[in-house]
Amino acid sequence: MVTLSLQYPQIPFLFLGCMAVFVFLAARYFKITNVSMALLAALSFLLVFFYMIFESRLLQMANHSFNDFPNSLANLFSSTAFYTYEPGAIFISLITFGLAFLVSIYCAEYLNLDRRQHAFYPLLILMICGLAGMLFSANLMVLYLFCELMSICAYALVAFRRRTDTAIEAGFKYLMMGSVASIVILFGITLLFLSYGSINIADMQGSTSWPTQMGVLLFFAGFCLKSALVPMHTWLPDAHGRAPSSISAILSGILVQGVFYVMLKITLSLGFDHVLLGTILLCLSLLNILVGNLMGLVQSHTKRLLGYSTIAQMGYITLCMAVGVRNNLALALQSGFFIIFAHAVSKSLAFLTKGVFHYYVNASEIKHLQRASSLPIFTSAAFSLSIISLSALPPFPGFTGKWFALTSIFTSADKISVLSALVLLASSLVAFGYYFPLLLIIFSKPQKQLPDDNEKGKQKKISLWMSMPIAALVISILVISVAPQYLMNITMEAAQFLMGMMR
Amino acid sequence: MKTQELINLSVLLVKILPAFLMLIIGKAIHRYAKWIALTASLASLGLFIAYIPTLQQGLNTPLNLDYLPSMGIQLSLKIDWLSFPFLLTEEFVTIFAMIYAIGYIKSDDRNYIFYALLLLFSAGMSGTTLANDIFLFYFFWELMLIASALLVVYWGESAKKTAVALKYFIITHLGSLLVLVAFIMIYSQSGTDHFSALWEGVQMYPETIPLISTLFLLGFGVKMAVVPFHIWLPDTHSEAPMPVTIMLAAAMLSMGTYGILRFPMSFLTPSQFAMFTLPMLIVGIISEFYGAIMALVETDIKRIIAYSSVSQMGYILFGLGTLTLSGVVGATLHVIYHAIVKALLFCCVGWIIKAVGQRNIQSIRGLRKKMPLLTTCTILGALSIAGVPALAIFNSEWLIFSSGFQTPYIGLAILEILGSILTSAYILRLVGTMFFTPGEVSQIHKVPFSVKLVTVSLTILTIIAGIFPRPLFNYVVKELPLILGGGW
Repeated sequence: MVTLSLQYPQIPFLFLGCMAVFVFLAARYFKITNVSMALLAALSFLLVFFYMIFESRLLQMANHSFNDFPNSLANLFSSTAFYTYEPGAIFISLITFGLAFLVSIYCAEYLNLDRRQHAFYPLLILMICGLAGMLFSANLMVLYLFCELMSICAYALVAFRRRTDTAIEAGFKYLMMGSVASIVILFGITLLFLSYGSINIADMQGSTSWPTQMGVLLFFAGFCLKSALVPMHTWLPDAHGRAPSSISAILSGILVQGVFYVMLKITLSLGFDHVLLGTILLCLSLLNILVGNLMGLVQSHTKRLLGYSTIAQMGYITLCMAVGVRNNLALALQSGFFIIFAHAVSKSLAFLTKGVFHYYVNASEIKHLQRASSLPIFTSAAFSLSIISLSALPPFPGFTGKWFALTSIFTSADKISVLSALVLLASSLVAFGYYFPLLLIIFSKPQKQLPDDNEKGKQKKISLWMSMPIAALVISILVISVAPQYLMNITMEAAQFLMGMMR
Repeated sequence: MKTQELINLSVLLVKILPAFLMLIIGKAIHRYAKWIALTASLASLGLFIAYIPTLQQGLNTPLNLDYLPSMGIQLSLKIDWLSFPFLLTEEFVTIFAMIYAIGYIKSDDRNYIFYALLLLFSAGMSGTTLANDIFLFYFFWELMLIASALLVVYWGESAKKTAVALKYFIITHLGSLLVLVAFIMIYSQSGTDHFSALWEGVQMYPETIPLISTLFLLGFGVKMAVVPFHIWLPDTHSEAPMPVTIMLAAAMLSMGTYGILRFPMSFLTPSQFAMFTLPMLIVGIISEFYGAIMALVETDIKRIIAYSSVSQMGYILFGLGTLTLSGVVGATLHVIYHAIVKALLFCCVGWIIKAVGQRNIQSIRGLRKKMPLLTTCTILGALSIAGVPALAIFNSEWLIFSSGFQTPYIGLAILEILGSILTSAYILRLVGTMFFTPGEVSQIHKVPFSVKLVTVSLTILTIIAGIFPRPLFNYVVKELPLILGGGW
């Protein structure tokens, strides 16, 4: 049995913060190349990744008792500010660091489109640091700070292509909506602080006065916006459609889901009634599923389409979690975590291959995807693998996740949940309406030769920096398809932890 | 693992591995693609035939592989007497379709994808019949759908092919989802996905049984293309290239029958299933009439044969719905005979289209004098589907018709027999117009040898199957104890 707990959860954030500064300074004053910066960022993500794995395993096995982390740095970063036993956060942050590692390697080539690497990598590192910090915070103020760190970096990265109006527009929209959410969250935290006189989540129990209720509600509402639950999703298709593909891969792949998980965990531990929370989330999830899938049908821009697909997939995740929370069902929560992983690898694979098409053959509209035929078949195959996995065809992880979700919902024997499972099935049929044409168009031959495509039959080569992360994601999808048991074991612990949060 | 267990796996692997090999390094070997595909399907058939003695000795143990032990999901493959007739049909149809394709499909540098997909399509069907657990069953069920949809998309015969393929995919996938819901309901009640565990220890809540059976019947009904779920069939069959049409019509439709036999019928007792008798009989008769009437008014010869499939599936559903011994045996035999005859008719139609270049029945006249061999084959196929004694379909029709009279619904049984008049009408119209109406077609193109070879051998098979039904009958009857396991 794997045991997921950390003695020193704060070390990664300190390390990443230092790395961001270091990378920025190195870029500014030593003019190091893009590739070496990418490798530096990748290395730091890799180190944190392995830190997480080894510390959560080895220390636990050796059963050492360490003294508390010295409090001298700042009170905020004392060990009470972070959860030490938090399997769900470890699960999601491992996905985050893994993805960030792959994306950094990918950017060693992809960033040649945009340059300005001295801004890019520090922002990326800080965004990841913010997300991971949020996941582990056990203190609402720390949570808020990390959330802002993550959000501000995300706004900047969405608007990273500052020469294009649409990117600026998307970034600005994201900034405006995200700031409103932040203010609402801050207001909620203030109300909670007012009634409890503490910012530690562990202290916040038992009160049912109106400021507490209001505070929890505001907190919940703000995070709903940040995790793109319909009707507060409008920023997502723009932001994910306009950001550089490498950033969209992280935003769509794990950031939204991470924020959602934090919201779920904290709301539960603040004493929100879990049946009520489950019911609200159930309604929101159905909206997400319907809006995401129906809007996906009418998109002409590949990345926007993938953005709507993320909204729909968020709906699936929310549905699983909602059923789990509503009916006290560990299996449903487990399936939620499973889908988070399945979606993270598939969606980031889709975005990264989409980035390859954009980089080499300038294909951003869906109808231009057929230009991909001049690229090696490997990329088209990877893209279709991700689409097939997203559309939940067996035996890929998307399907396995949905299988668990349906199983848990039918086990719950809760009429409302069963009805919503039927909505899920019906809408996944609708989803084929936009996934299937993607598959068709990617393998169809262009009608007429493009003007710049004079050397017929000559294939472009894809940089190793870009193909390696894609290959890694493909392999991870295939491995999970063949042997899902291991992933199930990890999600089990995360689900048990969430169950413990329900009061 | 014993050798006998490994054969289960290798029947599949000899198709799947070459298919993936071709997809990966296909460009280099595209000249040999058709021969690789043909060899693979022959090898698969050979392995299957080599397994028959084991089956007869009752040593057919399943091959089990752990997949998700904590969730009770175990992958398992097994050949038993229930899957035997369907696997046999599917393997033979694949080989005929492959040989047919060698002459029929023009060679180009994307050929290898066609043959790889054809192999995957075939592997999907064999996997569906071989699967001994729900998870694997659903996987192959979807593989079959995806491969065939892709074949329609890329090798469809007109400009509508994308729309037709999308329609085919969405409607059939809807059926799959209904089946999936039923699967999940069984699985979440029993906690395991293994067939044998399901059959032995399944303790279902009685109130969910009607719902589960309904979902199964609807889901498999879509695959069988009975009315009102037939809407994907005429378009898809007329759009697909001929070898694919042969596989769709002759082999894939029967997978719905297999599903009904395998799931609702073999784990429910007859008394639990009795409530579905009347709906199945009625839908069977409606399909029979509707398909026949539509075939009577169609002008596209390929669509006529396609509607004939809807009609024939009506017979099969009627046979299953009677819940009698002769009905079930008759339906299973009908699957095999229908596969032979339908493949033969589509081969003939393909031959005509290749030779004349026309698909409209009004513009094809007087073929009798110029093409005597084709005329003989088509007439034998037509007579067989019309139910003339001593040809294949007569035997199974006899069983299905007689089963109707063992039910309380004599009126429906009589209606069923009367419906076969319509079958004779549409098929005689087809033959009469094309071969015996005075007139000339302007030009006759040369037809590849492989097309002729397949057509003639299917004709011979029709006659043999009609005159000697005994061996097949003996094999098929052995499936009944498996269904009886559910308490029949």
